[in-house]
Amino acid sequence: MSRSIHTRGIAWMRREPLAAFMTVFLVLLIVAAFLAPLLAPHDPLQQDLTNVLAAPSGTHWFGTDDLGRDVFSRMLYGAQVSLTAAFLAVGAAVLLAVPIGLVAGYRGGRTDAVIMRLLDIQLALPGLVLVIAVASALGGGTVNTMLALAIAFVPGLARVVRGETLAVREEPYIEASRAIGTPSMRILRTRVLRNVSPPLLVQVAITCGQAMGLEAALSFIGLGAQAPEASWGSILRRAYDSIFIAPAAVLVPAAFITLTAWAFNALGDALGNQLSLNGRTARKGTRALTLSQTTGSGIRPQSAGVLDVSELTVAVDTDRRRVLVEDVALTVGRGRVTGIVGESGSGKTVTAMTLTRLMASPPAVVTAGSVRICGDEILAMPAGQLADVRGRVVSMIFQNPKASLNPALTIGRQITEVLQWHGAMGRGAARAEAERLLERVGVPADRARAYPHQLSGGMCQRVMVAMAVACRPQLLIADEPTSALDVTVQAEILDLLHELAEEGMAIVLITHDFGVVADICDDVVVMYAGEVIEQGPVVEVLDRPGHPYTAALLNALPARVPRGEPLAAIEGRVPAAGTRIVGCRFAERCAYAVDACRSAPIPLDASSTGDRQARCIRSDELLGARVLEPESEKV
Amino acid sequence: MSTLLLRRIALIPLLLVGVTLSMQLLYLLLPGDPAATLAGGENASLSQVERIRAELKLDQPFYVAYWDWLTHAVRFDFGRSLVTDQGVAEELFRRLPATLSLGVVALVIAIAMGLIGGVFAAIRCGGFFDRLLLAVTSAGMAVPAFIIGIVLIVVFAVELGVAPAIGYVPISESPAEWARHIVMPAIAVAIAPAARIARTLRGSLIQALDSPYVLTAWSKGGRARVVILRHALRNSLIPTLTVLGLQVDLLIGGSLIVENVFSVPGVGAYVANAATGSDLPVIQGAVVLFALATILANLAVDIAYGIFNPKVRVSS
Amino acid sequence: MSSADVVHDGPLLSARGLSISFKVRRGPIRSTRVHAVDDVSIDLYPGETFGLLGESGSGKSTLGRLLLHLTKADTGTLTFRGRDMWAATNAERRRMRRRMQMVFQDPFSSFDPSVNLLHSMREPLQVHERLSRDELDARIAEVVTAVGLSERHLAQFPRQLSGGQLQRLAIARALSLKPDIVVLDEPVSALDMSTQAQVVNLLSELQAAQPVTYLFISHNPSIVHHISHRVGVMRRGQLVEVGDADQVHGDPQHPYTQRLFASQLSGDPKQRRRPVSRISEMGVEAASGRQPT
Repeated sequence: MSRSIHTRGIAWMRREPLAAFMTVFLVLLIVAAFLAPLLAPHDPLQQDLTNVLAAPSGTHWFGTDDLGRDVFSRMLYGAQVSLTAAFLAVGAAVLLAVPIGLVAGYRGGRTDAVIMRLLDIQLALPGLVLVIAVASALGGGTVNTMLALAIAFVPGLARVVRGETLAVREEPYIEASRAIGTPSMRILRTRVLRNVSPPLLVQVAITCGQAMGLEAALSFIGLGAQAPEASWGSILRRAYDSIFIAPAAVLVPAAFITLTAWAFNALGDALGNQLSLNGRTARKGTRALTLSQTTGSGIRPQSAGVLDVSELTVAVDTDRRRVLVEDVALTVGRGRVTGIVGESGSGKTVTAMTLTRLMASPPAVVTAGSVRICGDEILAMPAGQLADVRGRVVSMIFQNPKASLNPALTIGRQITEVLQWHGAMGRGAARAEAERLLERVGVPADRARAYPHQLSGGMCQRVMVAMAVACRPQLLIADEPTSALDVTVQAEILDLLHELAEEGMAIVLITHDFGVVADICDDVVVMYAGEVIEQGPVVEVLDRPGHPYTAALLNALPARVPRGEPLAAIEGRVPAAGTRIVGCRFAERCAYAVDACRSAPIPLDASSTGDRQARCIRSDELLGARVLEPESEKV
Repeated sequence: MSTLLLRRIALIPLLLVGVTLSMQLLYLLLPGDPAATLAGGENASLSQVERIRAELKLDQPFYVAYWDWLTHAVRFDFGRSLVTDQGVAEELFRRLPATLSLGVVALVIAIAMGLIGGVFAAIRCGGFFDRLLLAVTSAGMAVPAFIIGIVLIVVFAVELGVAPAIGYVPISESPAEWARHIVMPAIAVAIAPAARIARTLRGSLIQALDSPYVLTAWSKGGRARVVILRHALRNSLIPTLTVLGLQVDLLIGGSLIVENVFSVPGVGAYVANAATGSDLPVIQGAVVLFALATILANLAVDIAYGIFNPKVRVSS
Repeated sequence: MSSADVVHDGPLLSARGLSISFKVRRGPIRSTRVHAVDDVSIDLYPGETFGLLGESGSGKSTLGRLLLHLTKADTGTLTFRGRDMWAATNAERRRMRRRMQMVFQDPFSSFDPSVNLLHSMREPLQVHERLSRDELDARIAEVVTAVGLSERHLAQFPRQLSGGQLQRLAIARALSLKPDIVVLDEPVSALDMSTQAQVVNLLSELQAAQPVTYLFISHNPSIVHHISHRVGVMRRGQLVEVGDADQVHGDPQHPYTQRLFASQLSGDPKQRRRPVSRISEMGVEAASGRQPT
């Protein structure tokens, strides 16, 4: 256990070197401040007018000030004053802010409204102004500075607590606790507070940094620590007053104030990253800016269809041994609808994205294979040509239609845009064409000026289809186009896709739902753990599946199983993406698995019946026998 | 005009009353006999103390005193300074141009640095420039503006002698001299807001670049420049705008002490000096000005918000 | 025995004329009320599975919460085992509360991410029963085994388990108090197909072992038909059709129910749906379903 903490600590330091350094710095500083009386080589108040504003030397490490006092000793004692002021101020503010924020956020309604209006007053007043105003009324001194800081910090911290509480309150696990019948106070104490604490901690670290800066500012203008007591701010002030005589003297207090405030901030950042609040861990944002390399192998002389994929293999960019999709081959002809079906982790979406080289994250890279659309090799295409192909020859629609449309542009604009990019069409012509396209997919033309948020999900998906078919592409790739939609709307969208296919468009439809496959696909490719495990005409595959996995999935469909009878459930779970497995990847969960299944890779073989292929050595038995006896039940 | 905006505008007087009322409460915080404390403690003459007591109505309940202050304040009469005996309103007005020019220059610098830094970091997310920006901005957000100012003075004025250390020349007198004098304090004030803007923009741009609608834009054949600028950046400006409004806080707070450091005869220096002398009428008057500036800046952001965010502009 | 434990004949839970509306702002001054649930009457009988079918925005989830008294209805009455829930004292309501539990759609956010699963699993028993730590953990082990998981899963955090495993734990958590009613709000919609089947089967097995009433809320006509004894169809806050599952599925009466089941995917390429949009657009009945080419 201790070793794992140790290794995790080292990993953290490697990931956050700045924060690690700053943590060490802060710890040393706090210890030094605490031990100031022991560590200080001189009395911080001992004047020596014969040795004023001396440069750093062996006896005075940081030199002396305008009264000849040792700056190093003064900084040590000053650290005590500055850190204490910051910690106490923030501590007091947290104690006040947490209950205020929790109550406002959890109770909501009128309580929240009143508290928020009061906190709004602080928003209208810059923090430093408030601190200065309060401190000037209270008079100078460290205690009054702390009070002023605490008062100024309460609203900001309370706001964070309230915001987080509001968010947590809406989480299903809070509703689950309410449904269990857990009393509100207990929910607040055990659930809300625990989940509000991490972001609060981040805010506390940042506020400590602010407190250091504000205390220094107050002391600098003479409101904070009063002589003979000195904080870093007042030391800086003395040095500043002699800036033309000894300019370097300001650097010591300036550096320490800066470093300490920075340290708290960096710590807050690192904590935030740990909680992934900052988006540093965000997935690679420059999708498709960096082009994936390709080996350029697998050249096929002739192209049979609109889409020809062969030997396609995709691996993780940083670790090419982790293969996400292996050896996928498929062909889609004009007017054909091919379904790629699989559960999450099957590699179906990675495959779909690779077809237009819009690699999904984590950054994936094609390590082998070929993707030809209308005969052109997509994987070897320069970026400019690729942009020209996308939207003109091949288009895509996605799962979440509302999020897939740009919220800041009208839907008309988003359609005319693609027409103008590819068609060299004038604005007026493009606008007329956009309206025609909208009518074509069943959206009234006058909605062209609407924004996506004004339309329903089904309408948005129709707009996506209109946009995708605007330049009459040969191929449409639809990634779970109906999964987020209601049943009746799903039917309408599927009808629309079917019509497009009837007009000659080739469609690749990615789905997890065999119901969708059965409804509009001509051919089906079943994927499992990054491999195609079965493919062929829909009627044949769905009628007599050649792979136990396909069979099980089909018998898991409630519509295909009589009411009251159990559905076929597959125990276990899909292996994590990139796991290396010798032999059949499904063997572990398969009721028909025999030793031979696990010993060597299983080829995707044409079965003896029909024009389809299955990756199963017992496929012919499965197809031949009416009921194949599960291996697990044999004696 | 959106509902939200109307509500915001209606709230402005209320907010101002809230702010000034809380400033009036400061008189209750004064230790000992408020009038005597304000007059300067033990050295004050009895007549001085009584004059202050009568002028600020300190012998009456605080709401009476506040009402008195408020009825004068709406006529731009903020009373007189206890230290210099000058009219607060006149003094603030005289000092406003210096503070405004510092604020505007700093804001322009902050926006320029923030936008450029944020966009480049986001596009090369996880790269060297990005990591550098994260480290630099975490320092930039933490370092108080006046310390940057002091370091700038040491390096550029004292050691290199390329810029004047202190002072201010009005733009009407000599634009060139004005620029020479304003650049260092403006940079000092601009660092923290620039860091915040860069951070926010970076975060929201990364999110936007990873969003389904940007994927759509790529999939329909958008070129990098169009996808990044028209589709991603436009949407990521919305959260950035909100943060921009909050930066007025930093600009004003920063200029308070920076003006003191650079001896700029602005509102900030005036307040900083008044604070050490517990010159509450001055602080109260200045706070009205600061609050108004903050509120108006946030209002401007709300309006800009509507322009960028159709969800606010167009109700469904 | 408390009043809540007395067994009555007739419905376990009975609602009459439940309505709730929310205010939606439509302009500077204007605001309209949206009737999320509009005059719904429903009875749930012991041991049955009632499938509540509806599309997004139909009010089905809100109705589920109203029936559990998690949200208070504007009007209507709600009786549990013949006892008026609104008139009940707080103590009585607490006793009723433990007899009705809920399972949510997203298993990942149904458990507090900051604590391990054992901690979350203990919550219902800690709140409602006074047990020693050993008794508590024994009871939890029992329900966890019943859903096909083991104690080693409990030492983990929600993120570390799969959606299917978590949803089974959520069901175990709901059943640990041996409730009379469990409201299942889209319990399988977020799951993969094979996992979905596991959970549906599990629900049936558990119901066979321990008499419990399910209110199964879903947007999916096939699953609702498969699992339910009776089905209710909701649209725009109203319960438009209620009946025996096979009857509603085979012979829907309300036009909306008809459209809903017509849109259902058969899962059989030889029996495809009729294109609904074309029926509605052209106003003519298509002669037959599409045939695969």
